[in-house]
Amino acid sequence: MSTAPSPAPPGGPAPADPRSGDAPAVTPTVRRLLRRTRLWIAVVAAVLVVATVWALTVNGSRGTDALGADNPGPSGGMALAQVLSGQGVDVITAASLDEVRQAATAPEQTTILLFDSGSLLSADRLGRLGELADRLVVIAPNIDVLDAYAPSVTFSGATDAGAPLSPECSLPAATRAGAVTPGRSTFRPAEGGAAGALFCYPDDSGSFQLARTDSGRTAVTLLADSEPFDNEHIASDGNAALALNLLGEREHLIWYLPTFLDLADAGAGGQPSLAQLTPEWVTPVLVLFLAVFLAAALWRGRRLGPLVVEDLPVIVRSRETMEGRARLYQRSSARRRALDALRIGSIGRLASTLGLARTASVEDVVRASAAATGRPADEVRELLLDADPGSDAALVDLSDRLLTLEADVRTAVDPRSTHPRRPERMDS
Amino acid sequence: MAVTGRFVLLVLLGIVPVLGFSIASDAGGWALLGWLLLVCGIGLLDLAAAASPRHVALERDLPGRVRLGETTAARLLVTNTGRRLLHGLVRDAWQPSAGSARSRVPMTIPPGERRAADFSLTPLRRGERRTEQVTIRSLGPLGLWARQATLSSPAAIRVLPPFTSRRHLPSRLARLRELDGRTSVMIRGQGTEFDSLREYVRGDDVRSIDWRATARHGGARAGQEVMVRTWRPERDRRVVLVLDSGRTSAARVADEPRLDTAFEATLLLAALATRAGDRVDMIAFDRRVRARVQGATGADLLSRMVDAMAPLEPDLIETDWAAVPAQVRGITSQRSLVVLLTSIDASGMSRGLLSVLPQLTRSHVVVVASVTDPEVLATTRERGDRESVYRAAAAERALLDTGRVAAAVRRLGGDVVTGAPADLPPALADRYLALKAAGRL
Repeated sequence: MSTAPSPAPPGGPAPADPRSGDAPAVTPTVRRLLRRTRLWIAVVAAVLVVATVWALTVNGSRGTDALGADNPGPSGGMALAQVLSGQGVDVITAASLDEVRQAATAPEQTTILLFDSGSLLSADRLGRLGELADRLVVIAPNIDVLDAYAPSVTFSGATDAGAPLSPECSLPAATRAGAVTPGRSTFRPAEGGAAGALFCYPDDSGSFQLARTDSGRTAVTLLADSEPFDNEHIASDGNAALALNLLGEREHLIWYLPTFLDLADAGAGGQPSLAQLTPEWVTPVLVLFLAVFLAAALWRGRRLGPLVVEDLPVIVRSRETMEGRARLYQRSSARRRALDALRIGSIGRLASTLGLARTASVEDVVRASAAATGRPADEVRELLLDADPGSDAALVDLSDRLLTLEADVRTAVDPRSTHPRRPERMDS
Repeated sequence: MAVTGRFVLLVLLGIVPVLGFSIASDAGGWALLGWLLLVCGIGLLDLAAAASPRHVALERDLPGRVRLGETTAARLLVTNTGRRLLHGLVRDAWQPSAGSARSRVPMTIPPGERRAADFSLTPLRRGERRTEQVTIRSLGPLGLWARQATLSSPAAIRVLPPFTSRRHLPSRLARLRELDGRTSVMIRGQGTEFDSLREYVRGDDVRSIDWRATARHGGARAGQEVMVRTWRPERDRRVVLVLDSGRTSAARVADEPRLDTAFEATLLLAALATRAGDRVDMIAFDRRVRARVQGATGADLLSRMVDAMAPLEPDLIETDWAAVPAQVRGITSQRSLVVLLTSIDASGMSRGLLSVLPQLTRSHVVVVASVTDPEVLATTRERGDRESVYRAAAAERALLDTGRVAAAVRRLGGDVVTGAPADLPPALADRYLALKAAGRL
């Protein structure tokens, strides 16, 4: 950025109407900002475009639901749905009972495929579903479905049959399809009510893979397991043929996988939802508050120019080395070393208080101090030379005694006292 | 771009139409959308009508130099070179330690006119205090949205050392004047110079009677008019001040870096010596010469010295003492007073100083000035508990180390002046006066 205030503005995209003497701006103009960031803007735009196109074409609206008509994965049902629509069947996907109701305009021309893996449908809704078509194929039904449509059918245990099972029943769709791969779940006739249903694909233990019953005018076909009909297994044995026979009988097929939409709305006559109870003005006012919050954030958050940087000086306290040495003494319990330092200081002060020469020996100081204070020389020597502190308490005690000795000597040689000695004052 | 509090209030005012439409006709969402579009539209119009913050010429009226601790006025002159009324905020981005009392000033400038914004600065630190940019926020006529631009306008003021020790100067100057005109009885020494002859008065040393001058004056006839010689302190001596700006000078004693105390001592001594007629030179040295003042006299000397000191900061490197004698030789080969302002805390750190001291003391009078920490002395007397006893021991040890280094310096022919930060400058000045009185320069 050129900082010199030149009479001619720098070439290029400077201010629209430059005047001589204007201070050079550091903040880029909007135009220059756009120009500088155009590469990034182009990159972001290109990424967005590519991502959108890819999402719309290559991936489509790829679903992830088990047995979903738009799920091309191993557990999906896209293969079956594609073949059915290739055969001229109008496949309509539905995610809630309302959608099924809207799609099922002609019940006699409609098959409904129901795969409720999450057990989201209530018994009430199941009952209403039966009225919408005269063919209902339920894959992997739960106990509610059996209660609603096939009281004569009940669950049997899991089977471990691995080999394809042959139909061995009179259902035309099954006999035409031939043997199919067995799933793990199975049916068996309910106690005392076997007459109402037709069972196909028995295994060795007397469990069945398919049950057919009539509920009112609706023919209900129950398939015990979804696995034989997913993308991975549909091509094995007669699985595809059975599914096509069952689902392709009518012109319209409603592929109904219940979702949470079936839970959310209790429908007409049910309890009013929270959204219905909320007054209409609440949402706009909340959005308005959000806008106020954003504006206030912009108001308070916008800086008046960039931050100013400044180098600060180092701060070194001169006592740091002294404190560090004190902690080292303490941590290593260097009592004698510490006491020696204190003694050297005391001896120096005593010598200058007593007016001794700079070259005086410790013995001289001991003798002079003892004479001045009237203490025994041995006691003073013990304090100034010999005592070896065995504990921290002893160290503190000795240090206090050193101070006391210094104070005593000072008092003894004080010119205001009556003591005969009167040393001249010395400055260290 | 920036928005104002007024705009926030305007957005909040939208609660009236939103609630009204919601209750009246269930159209709260549309009312909200309409209101937001309306306020943004008004904001855009306001923005479009605001004066450009770029069409502005800036000038500064700065004092250039200010002493630390003093307050100065930094004036920013803003000229509106655009065609619209510029109404808004101006911020001058001084560094925090420049101590600007307020950073933003509201301004209204009609087109083609100039207005002044006064910022009072009380710098907190010595050295160059800078500002690089001026930011202008120009409000629209409704005061809702604002245009903002940062303009480059670099400037700096130099913050000089405070020289608080100048309060000691008058008393030292008085003592210096007392040295003038004394007779030899008081200050006889090899370096004192003959000044003048005057008549004998009672109390003069009879040894300073100049019989030849008495005879020439004809005092023999009068019988009483005996002439004596008077002496004055020597003049035109050299004083070389060497400031150690290495790592030991960064340590703070009484919350003042050693280097700053050295500045105070240096300035006081320089002021005194230049009045006494001596020539003063200064260098600040660690591994290279960081500041140098040579060949200046009188008032010019002090102003050049504070100028050289202002931006000087301690460097965290070991001082190269081996190069110091060569530096002193480079300044003068004459016998001079060399003052080394450093620290003599520990023998390990002072080894370099001690090793070159003989070279200096051979041809110069050397004074080593060092700041001592008064708290260390106080610490030796605090012995309440275990921790404080150990600390007192460490303090005694530190004092002992200092004393040893001082003794070593004296043994090598140098002189030592120590003192707490407040006491060192007058102590050094007194030592200079004592040397001068003794005629040792």
